[in-house]
Amino acid sequence: MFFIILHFIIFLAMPPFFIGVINRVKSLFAGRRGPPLLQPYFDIIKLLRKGSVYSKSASFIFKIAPMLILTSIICAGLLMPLTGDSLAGFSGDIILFVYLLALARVLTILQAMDVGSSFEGMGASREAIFGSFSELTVFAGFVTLGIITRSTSLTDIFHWGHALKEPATLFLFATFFFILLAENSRMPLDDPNTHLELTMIHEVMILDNSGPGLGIILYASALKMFLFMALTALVLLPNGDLPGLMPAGFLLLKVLGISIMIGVIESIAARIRMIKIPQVLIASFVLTVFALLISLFERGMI
Amino acid sequence: MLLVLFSIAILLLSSLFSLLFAGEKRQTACVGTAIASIVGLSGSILSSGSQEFFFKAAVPDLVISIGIDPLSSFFLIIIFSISFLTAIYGFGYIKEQKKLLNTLPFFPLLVASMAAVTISRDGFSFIIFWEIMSLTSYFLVVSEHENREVQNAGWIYLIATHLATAFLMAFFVLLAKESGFLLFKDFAVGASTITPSLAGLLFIFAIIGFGTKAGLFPVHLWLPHAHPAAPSYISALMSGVMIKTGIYGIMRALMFLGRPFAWWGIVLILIGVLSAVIGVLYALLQHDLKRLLAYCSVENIGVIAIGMGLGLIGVAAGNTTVSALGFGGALFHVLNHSIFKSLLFLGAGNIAHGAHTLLIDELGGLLKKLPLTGITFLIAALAICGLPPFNGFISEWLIYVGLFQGTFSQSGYPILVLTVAVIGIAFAGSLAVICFTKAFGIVFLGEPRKIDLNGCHESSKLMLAPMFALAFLCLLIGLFPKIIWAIAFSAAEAVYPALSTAQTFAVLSSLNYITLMFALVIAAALILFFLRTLFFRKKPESLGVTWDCGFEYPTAKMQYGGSSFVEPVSAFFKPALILAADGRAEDLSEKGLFGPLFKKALDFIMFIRIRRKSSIQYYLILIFITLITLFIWEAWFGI
Repeated sequence: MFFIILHFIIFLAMPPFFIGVINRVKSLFAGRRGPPLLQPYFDIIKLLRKGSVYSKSASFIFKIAPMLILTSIICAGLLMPLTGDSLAGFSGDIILFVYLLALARVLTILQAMDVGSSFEGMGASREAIFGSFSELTVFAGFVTLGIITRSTSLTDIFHWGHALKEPATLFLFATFFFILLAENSRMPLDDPNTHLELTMIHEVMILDNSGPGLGIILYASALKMFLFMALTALVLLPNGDLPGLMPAGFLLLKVLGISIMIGVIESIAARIRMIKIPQVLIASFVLTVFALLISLFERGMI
Repeated sequence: MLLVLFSIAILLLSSLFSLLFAGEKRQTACVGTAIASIVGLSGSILSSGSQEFFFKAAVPDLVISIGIDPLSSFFLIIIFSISFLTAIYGFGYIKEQKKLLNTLPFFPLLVASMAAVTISRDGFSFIIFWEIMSLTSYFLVVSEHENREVQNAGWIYLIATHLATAFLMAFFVLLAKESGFLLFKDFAVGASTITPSLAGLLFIFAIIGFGTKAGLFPVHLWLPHAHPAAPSYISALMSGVMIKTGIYGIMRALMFLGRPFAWWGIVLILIGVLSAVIGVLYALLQHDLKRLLAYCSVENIGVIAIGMGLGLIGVAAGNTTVSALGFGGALFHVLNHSIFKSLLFLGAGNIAHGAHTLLIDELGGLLKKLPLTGITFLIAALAICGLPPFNGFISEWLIYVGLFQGTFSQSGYPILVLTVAVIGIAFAGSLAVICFTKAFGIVFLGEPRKIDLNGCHESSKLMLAPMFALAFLCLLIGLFPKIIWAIAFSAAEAVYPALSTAQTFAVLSSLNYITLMFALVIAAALILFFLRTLFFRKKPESLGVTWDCGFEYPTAKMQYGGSSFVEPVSAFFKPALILAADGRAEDLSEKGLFGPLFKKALDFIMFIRIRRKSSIQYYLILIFITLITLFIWEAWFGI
């Protein structure tokens, strides 16, 4: 029972904080003091208290989509072993995890297409194609992890404690980190802070949201980013068989480290040109396939 | 068994009556099909175990046999449940499109012949029923025969299906030579002594012959022509059910070929991966909604083929758990696909009926005028992408888990093929997301592009009711997959009895968890909605124009269209595609393989024809020479 509550506290309360950390790192790099660490919470609460403006073109899909996006991401979070074990893990849950996130993506795309805006359509189109490439890479990565650990459940995969002894995990960490950046609209693939709609991917899709709807979407994307950060951290440094509260504590430290890394990368990297993004995503896919082949060779399976 | 025969009798009678009547009364065909489907459905659900009956025909040495076993009853359940719903839909559809009454008598015949194919137990009657199925569906495809494109589609379908039948005839003749009889019973007995090379050859013949009907790449050619040409309720029946008889055929054929070899599975998986990825890639680069759906069938048949290939690899390696997941998942997907694909085609029928066009780039904003069609279409679209909490996820999950399990136990070439299969399904699935966000998003959301929304209207209740039933089934099977898993598994067990030793306990407990998770998804969504209405009820809501960078007067023309939506995909895959001038993807197998092939064949025939002024004596001599050649061949080589 305690671990269930702890899981929910970590998963539902902590994520916006890490966005605050990223912003703080970025402002330190830019020589500014930056917003408070809890600013993302204030933003979400402020938005929840406002009224909404809906586009005349929007249908009911637009109004219900934010809740459904949040639902699917929360349910995906139940499968992530945040406290050592996940809440609803079963063998084969990695597939459900990816598909729940895909559901969230589909709903975001449909919501963007609902208002009939050229900018949002543009963002939807980009998100659809880039998302499909990253989903492909995630699956290839899970096959590799499955072959290394001989299991198909996130909990079992990350109970495995031989991190860093496998050369493949270094490649996997690199690709999962890349997917983390791509899926959560971070630099150098997408710029969350830009003010030019033509160059945005994720942010442009939610342009027409306002008030509570926007607040829920911001919160959902914080949760999604936290899930990806946890996944990336666990690929490099799995939980192993640590007792008690240690997996949860270490996980938060690892995620903190990843947020600092993201902040540093966002500060020093320049944005990649839009037409280069598929090539970069395919490169990360190839890297995963390389990791897969390494782990197969190592086991003498081919 | 008796109920199934009774239902076939009702189907034949209703076809006959509807042929005798004229005008509105021809609708007896739909009513009769609906009644017969209920009868047949109850018969196929109630049937347990295997039964066979033999009838001595008047021709010497010919025994006709019919029978039922779990494999047959699995497919009969699919055939009858979808035909019931399409019959109701068809009744409403034809009420408003009177000219379709012409070909209506063929509708019950098609259902009857599909049922007959699955209960036939000898090569002779199988081929006959198979041909009746092909011909009746041909006549239904060319319902609107005054249209030149429809005629063309009909010809392509007819030629493709007959070329495939040639392979099936060769398949049965070779089997009959091996076992001495045409009965399936004897084929199965002969399976234990069949030589590996002959079994391999027969496997290839079965893949080509049945794969053409099912729509495997590269012999899927007829699908994207025939489905758009046929009236919607017929496309739903053909894409949902009739192409599955090809899968039934492959499963049945496997019973006659003895112990499978790993390379069969590898071949089937590679064909499946190609079909899945290429099918969905072509699908998302189409402008016509029904063509898009037709190509998407190629994708799903590819997924089914991957499942069957996995099953074969499992059987060959003696790993029955993997095999059960492969075959069980494939058959589960057969059932799922028949539900959501027929739902999508019925939805396309409503769109064609309500908005008078199926060109994606002309539609838009239909959700406001066709809300019920829109909701059911959305559910089907989510289900076909394999998204939770709908049924498509379950079957894809079974195949995924089987592939993962396979990678744990295999090595060498099979493991590489299995990883290719995982990545292939994942890629096809993520492209399907693009395909169906395009199909739903452009057609139903945003603003109308070229149509006038005021002229659009929702379809009648008679047409919507079956669609709601199908959408409900998508959710129901997603929530309670175990029943379907049980019958799919017993159908697979009928082919390979060794599957009874499979360790499916872990799968069943995972299915329980999936049920739990799906219930949680639904419950969480409901709770969040409740909270939303509770807290945000008093918040002010207002309407504004869509944000376009401060521009206040957005028009429908400024929207992203279907072609622009998929432009990044076509730009990325440009080297591998043949793109038409309007951005549509041309079929590689049509333009690169069969087009030139048939051109060569035509040149050859014209060469012979021009040589001699086509007189009947000359043709007779040609036929005679051919017969003599075949006779000598038979006498010397014994085929």
